[in-house]
Amino acid sequence: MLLGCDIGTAATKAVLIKDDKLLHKVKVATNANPDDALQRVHAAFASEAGISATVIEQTAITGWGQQKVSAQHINANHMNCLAKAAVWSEPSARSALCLGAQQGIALSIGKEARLLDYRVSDKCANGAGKFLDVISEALGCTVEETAAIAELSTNDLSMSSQCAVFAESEVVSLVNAGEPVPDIMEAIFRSLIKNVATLCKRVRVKGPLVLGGGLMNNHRLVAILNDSIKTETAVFAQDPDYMAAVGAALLAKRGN
Amino acid sequence: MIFAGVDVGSMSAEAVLMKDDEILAASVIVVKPNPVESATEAMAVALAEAGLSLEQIDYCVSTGYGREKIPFSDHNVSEISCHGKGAFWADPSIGTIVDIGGQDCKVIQIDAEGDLKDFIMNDKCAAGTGRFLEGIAKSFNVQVADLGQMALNGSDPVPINSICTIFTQFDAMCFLADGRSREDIALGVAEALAQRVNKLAGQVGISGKVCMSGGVAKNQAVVKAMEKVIGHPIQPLRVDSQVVGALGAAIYAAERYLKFDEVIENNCLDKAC
Amino acid sequence: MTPMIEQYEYLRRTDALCDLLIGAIDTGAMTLEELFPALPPLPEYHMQLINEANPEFIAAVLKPKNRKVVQAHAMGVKQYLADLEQGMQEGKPMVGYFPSITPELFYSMGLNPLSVETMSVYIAAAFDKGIEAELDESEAAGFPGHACGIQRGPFGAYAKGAAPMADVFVKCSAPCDSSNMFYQYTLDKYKVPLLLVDAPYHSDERAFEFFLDEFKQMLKDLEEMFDCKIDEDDLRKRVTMGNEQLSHLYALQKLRRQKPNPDPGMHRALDFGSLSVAGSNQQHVDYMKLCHEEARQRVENNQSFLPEGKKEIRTVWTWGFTPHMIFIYDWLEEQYGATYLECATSTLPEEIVGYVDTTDVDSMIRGLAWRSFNFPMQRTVMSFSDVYVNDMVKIAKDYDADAAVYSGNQSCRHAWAAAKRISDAIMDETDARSLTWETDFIDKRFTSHAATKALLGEFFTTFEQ
Repeated sequence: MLLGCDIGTAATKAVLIKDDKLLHKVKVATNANPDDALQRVHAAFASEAGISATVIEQTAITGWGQQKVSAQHINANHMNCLAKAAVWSEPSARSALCLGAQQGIALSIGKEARLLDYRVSDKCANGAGKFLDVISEALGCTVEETAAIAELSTNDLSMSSQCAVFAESEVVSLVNAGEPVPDIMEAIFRSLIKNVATLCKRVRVKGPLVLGGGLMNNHRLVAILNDSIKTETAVFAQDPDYMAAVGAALLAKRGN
Repeated sequence: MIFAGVDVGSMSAEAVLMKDDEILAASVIVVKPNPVESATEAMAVALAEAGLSLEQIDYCVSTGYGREKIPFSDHNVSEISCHGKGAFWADPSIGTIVDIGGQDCKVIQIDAEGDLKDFIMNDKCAAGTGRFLEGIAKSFNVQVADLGQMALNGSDPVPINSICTIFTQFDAMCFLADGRSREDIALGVAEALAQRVNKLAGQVGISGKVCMSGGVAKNQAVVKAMEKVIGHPIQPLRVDSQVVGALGAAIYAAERYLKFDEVIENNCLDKAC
Repeated sequence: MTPMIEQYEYLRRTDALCDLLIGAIDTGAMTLEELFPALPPLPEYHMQLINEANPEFIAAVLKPKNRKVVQAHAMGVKQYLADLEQGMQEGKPMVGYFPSITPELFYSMGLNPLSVETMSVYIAAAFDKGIEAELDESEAAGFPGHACGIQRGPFGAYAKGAAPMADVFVKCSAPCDSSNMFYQYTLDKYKVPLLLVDAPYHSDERAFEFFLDEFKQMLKDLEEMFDCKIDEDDLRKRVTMGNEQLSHLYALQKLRRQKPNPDPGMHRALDFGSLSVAGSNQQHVDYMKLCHEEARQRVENNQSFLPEGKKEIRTVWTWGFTPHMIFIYDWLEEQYGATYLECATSTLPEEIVGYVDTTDVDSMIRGLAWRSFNFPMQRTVMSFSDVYVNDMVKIAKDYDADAAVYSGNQSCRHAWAAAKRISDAIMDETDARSLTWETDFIDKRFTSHAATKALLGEFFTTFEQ
């Protein structure tokens, strides 16, 4: 039984894998405390699945919190995790895209499922989860509700702000000016995907492109992405949020 | 003659009334979504302070957002020129103005007459603007004004490597979790802001004496950080840094009115601008 | 009598740095901890420099795989400066030149050559406070911050009087606009004559004949300006030294194809340093010879300088080395087993460049012009990108590279235009993995050493799993 844990800036995602099968998954808020997050992960596995830490043979950790965990573990390189998980989900995968809370990663996979090239976008919030967090807060809805809202859009609105902070203000003015919220939401989605598409082009993504990160649960976003990059995509099996965690668990095998 | 200038920004709006080259009244209010409403309210507050009515204003110049739409304004001028003019009036030895507003920042160079020589502006990215500080203040649950005092009490500024305002908020939270003091974080943030602005300044250069305008100039920690980073002292102005734009607009109002006067006297209307 | 070069901070600093390196290695100390107590009493100026030295650089220099070679190189630089000093005392006219023309011809004409840019490289490599002060001054004076640091440093140095002003400047129009801008500036501001050797974008025979004409015109102009002539014997002596240097470089380039690569990566910057002053003194020949011998012995004795158990990650640096962090190539070997094969700023393809024919003055001029035409950067950067792309793909294939890293100088616009073409071509035609990132050649503040280590670490870790 192997534990793969992706300690991100917002959330910690963990999976238990045995014989390459995903047995159980949990997600907790990181709260800027990786050690504590890992403990809560163990507690959750115990209470939800009755699995205690003693049956776990190896723990592999990836993500922002990797270097800050004091408990015994192996470090799994984030890019390798994503490549490994992509192929696990889609055996013929040739590239992967994972959007986290603060960074987006696009990578291409070469022969024998080995990593070939990658690009990280971590300078600007527009293109990552935080962007949508900020906007949905401004519009008074949850991130999960945004897809359904955007689907009701009938008009192409153009937004001038690239910056997430300014976009937030722009959204408020647009609402005050009486623009329909669905149109605003759709425009926000398009702005986000524009940046993501640029990232994908940099690594020359080829299909199947496996999509990971919580944002990929948003089917409207995925639809806009598909239109934009014209590459065959597949959302990571089971739950895109856990892509890096699954990859880490798969790599834990080698670490033994 | 009474002249008025009104400046509508992204977070605040100001109005300045002048007579005989002296400030009669100045106002600072929080903006409303509608710039016309903001301008009207700012003007109303200033008029009330001076005990005057709108009809007594001989000429009004508007600047900032929606400057062309202000019904009681006679003319509008770009806020860049207004900031330059206002700073020059306050101190004619000024050559460069670093203006850090709510959602943009500018570095303005003026000539010996206070007219615009060169400038550069960033209004695409929140880093280097008031919003940068606002985000941190929010996550500390304090007012932006208190953040300045906090930063001044800091001694070992935390290094802020993120460029994005939103990511910086996360960095600040992590430093807190690591046990760094809010004072040191606030100081690190002030210095990061100064670094961002300095990068912009480098593209147009510093010439002559430097002053700061805009609301952020009230944050003493940012001012000190700016001095450290650009290697020049920041001249304090004898007016509220936040009203510099409206002040410049009022001065432009006076200039234009007096030029018209001259023109009418000399009977050469066709040469009026 | 106080040496004339001591009036010039740039030169004084470089010279003292060489003293420190030679002395440090002479103590036999293997680590920083061993070094400080072992140092003999030093003049105050040198003590001050020790405080400013980059400790990671010094630690890397002391390691067995680097120490003798660095010492030999420092002796070459010291001799170069001693010759410069002598030339100044004798009142020889000074020639400033961009390092893509080697100085044999200048010496043989009785002129005194100095490449201030090359001194920048040493100062940036060795000191925590490298030449950032000069860079800031150049920007304050209006020289653009996005121009290459290798020019911004000398710009600041000239403004401060930290480097001597030449009597004439010689520049090929390749490799870039940034360097051309600097030489135009010095012409304008300091009114020092500039002899420009026009280098075409094309790389064919016709282009070379054009370049050769320009090259010869430059030599004629120098002869006229300073009433001097090429001394054939001296030229032949120096060209022979240069050829010998190159023979060792070519041999090294072949040895680097071995697995594991027997040539430590920190030396590439030094290789370029020696190459750019080819024919100046015997010490630089000895440096190249020593590099060659050490590498050959490692191969013959089946020895590797990589830590036990580290699997080699063979890396081609498709942009080049970065002077302010040359210790990082040593760090990469220790941490990740990542060896440095070739880079575009130090590679010289033997099958193209060959040797200079020493038959007569004409054949030597032709040979030296040909070498300039194909010098690092000159050949690849200001040219049609196919040349650059093909050169890099060939290296990746011939040396069986595992990784291709483009650590691009932010100001190197011509090169950046080709960056993606290069990485795409290498990935299409070999199994190598690619990384592209931006740094500044000289200014360590652009991408900090910490950020660089994180970035490179993340990339090289991908090979572990």
